[in-house]
Amino acid sequence: MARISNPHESDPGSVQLPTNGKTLLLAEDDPFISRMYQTKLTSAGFTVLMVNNGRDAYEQIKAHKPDLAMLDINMPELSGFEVVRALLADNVGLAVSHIIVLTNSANPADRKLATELGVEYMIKADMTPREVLDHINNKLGLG
Amino acid sequence: MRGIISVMVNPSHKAAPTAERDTGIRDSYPEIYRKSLELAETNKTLTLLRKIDQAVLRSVNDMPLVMCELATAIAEDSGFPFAAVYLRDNSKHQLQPQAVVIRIGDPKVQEEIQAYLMGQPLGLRHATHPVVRAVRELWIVPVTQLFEVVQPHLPIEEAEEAQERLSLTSFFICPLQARNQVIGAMVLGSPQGVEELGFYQKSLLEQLTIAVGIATDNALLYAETQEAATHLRAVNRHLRDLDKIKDEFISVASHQLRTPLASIKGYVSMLLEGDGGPLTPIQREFLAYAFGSSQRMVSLISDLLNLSRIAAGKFAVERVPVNLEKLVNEEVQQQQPQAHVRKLKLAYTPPTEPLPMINLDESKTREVVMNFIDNAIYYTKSGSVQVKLSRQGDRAELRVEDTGIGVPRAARTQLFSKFFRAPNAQAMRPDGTGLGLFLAKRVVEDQGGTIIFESVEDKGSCFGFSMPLTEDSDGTDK
Repeated sequence: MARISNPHESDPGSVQLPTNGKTLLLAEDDPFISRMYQTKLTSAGFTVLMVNNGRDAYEQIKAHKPDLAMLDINMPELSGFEVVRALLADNVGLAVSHIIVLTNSANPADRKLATELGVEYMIKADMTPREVLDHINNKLGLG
Repeated sequence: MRGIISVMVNPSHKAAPTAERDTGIRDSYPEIYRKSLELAETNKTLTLLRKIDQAVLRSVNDMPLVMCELATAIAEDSGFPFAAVYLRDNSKHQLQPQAVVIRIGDPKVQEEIQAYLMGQPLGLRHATHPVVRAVRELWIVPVTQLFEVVQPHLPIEEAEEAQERLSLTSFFICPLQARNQVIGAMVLGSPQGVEELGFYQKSLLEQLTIAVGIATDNALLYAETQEAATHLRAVNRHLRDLDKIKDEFISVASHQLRTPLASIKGYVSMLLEGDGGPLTPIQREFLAYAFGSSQRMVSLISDLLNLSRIAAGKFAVERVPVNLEKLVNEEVQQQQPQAHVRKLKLAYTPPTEPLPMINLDESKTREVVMNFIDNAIYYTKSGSVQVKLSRQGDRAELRVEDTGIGVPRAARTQLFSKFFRAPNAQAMRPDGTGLGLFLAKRVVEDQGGTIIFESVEDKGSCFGFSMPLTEDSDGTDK
């Protein structure tokens, strides 16, 4: 599929928004999706760390200890699940309940695996960025 | 068959005594002697028949071997040292030689005759050939000349010489029958003349004919069964592969459709929320249409996925504790832009007291709630859509009430059938799939709930569900 442009090349907005002190990691290799969540979450005050592959996701989480991580399942280098496993193996202090794995495929095995690992499973097309934001606020007790 | 063969057999024939050392018994107790001879012969017959059965059982998966073992058992143990078996090949209209075993006379001649017979299928049109006659006339045909058996290609002089060197005097050609069909023929050769055969050998001919017929038929049936089983296994494997490919295709296709759709729906929703700056009323209206359509496409893909899972027997609800009140509220909020565009009032009445968490399949239940609200908005031209969640005893009840077109009485019984659409709904919304309510019913009932449906045509409808608050007694998912 031809990408018309890279949405990250456009001006992300010059206004400095007030932060809520929470950091999120967003690992997503589709630039349209990542820009979408980035815009919504940043405007709500989150600091959003953006990566587009599993290896960077793992390293950034270890380095920055974000409050919550959203991991696409199908990513280059390491899948979202592989990142979760690596984090669990390294005992990184990020609770599995604060990890959301994202997908658009209809793979029952993925859903099952998410339940087994204790991470949240989310189909991207099911929710709008606003709903995702509300959901994250809820998870982090930000009401 | 018994009647035909018994023409050959005269039951009044006495078994001829052979052993001189038994003379004393024979003379003193003739009755006992006769009985013991009969018993000895019966025993021989039974032993031989058992050998035939064993030959079939031992090598049942190899038809040529079965035939060879049958012929060998007969040639070695029946007193007919020449045994040839033919099977009928209906497609070629021939009798195909299956096995020829000779256990008498010059080994070199044995080999020559065996090789000759094995190489000569007999055309069923060759009506004068004794083997063909036996098959066509259902008669045991006795002949005295090997030449008659080996005709038409072996010269008469050679056949006569071979017969002499094999010390064979008579041949009996027996039709083989099973399940009222002639399946072939057996040629048995004896060093004795036709008239010299004893009772034992005559009755043996009859029994052998029956036994070999049945044994051969069993072996043929087994071979056919095996062939069919192999074929079925291959077909089954192919179908499993196809099913897997179909599942993969649906999974991949849904992924490929949802990925751009997630962007479209997400960005449009953000524009509607003002993330791209202020909107004029007309921009807001148009974007709400776009959002509603993208939303419908999301649920359409879900419906198709669920339908294919139902077809594959893989549809299953996965229940986790869910806050139903929150779920319904979210779905109402998501549909507000649609209601706004259609100038309908969409109101949510939460329960008076908070509901406990309920074990539900969250995404499937969400689709059901969305489907009820979406339908209510779409099939209501003016008025309101009221979404009411309440507790009724030990059940949670959701009611989505509209002031829409309603469901005609005639359409009510089929309303929850797959692909069914009521005529007035069809007229209003030609692009519907008729899957929403079918799937809703399945999802609700699979979770132990019941569907609520009330309607007055042209006045409005109420769709909803009643769901138990407690888990099933066994506490497991269905």
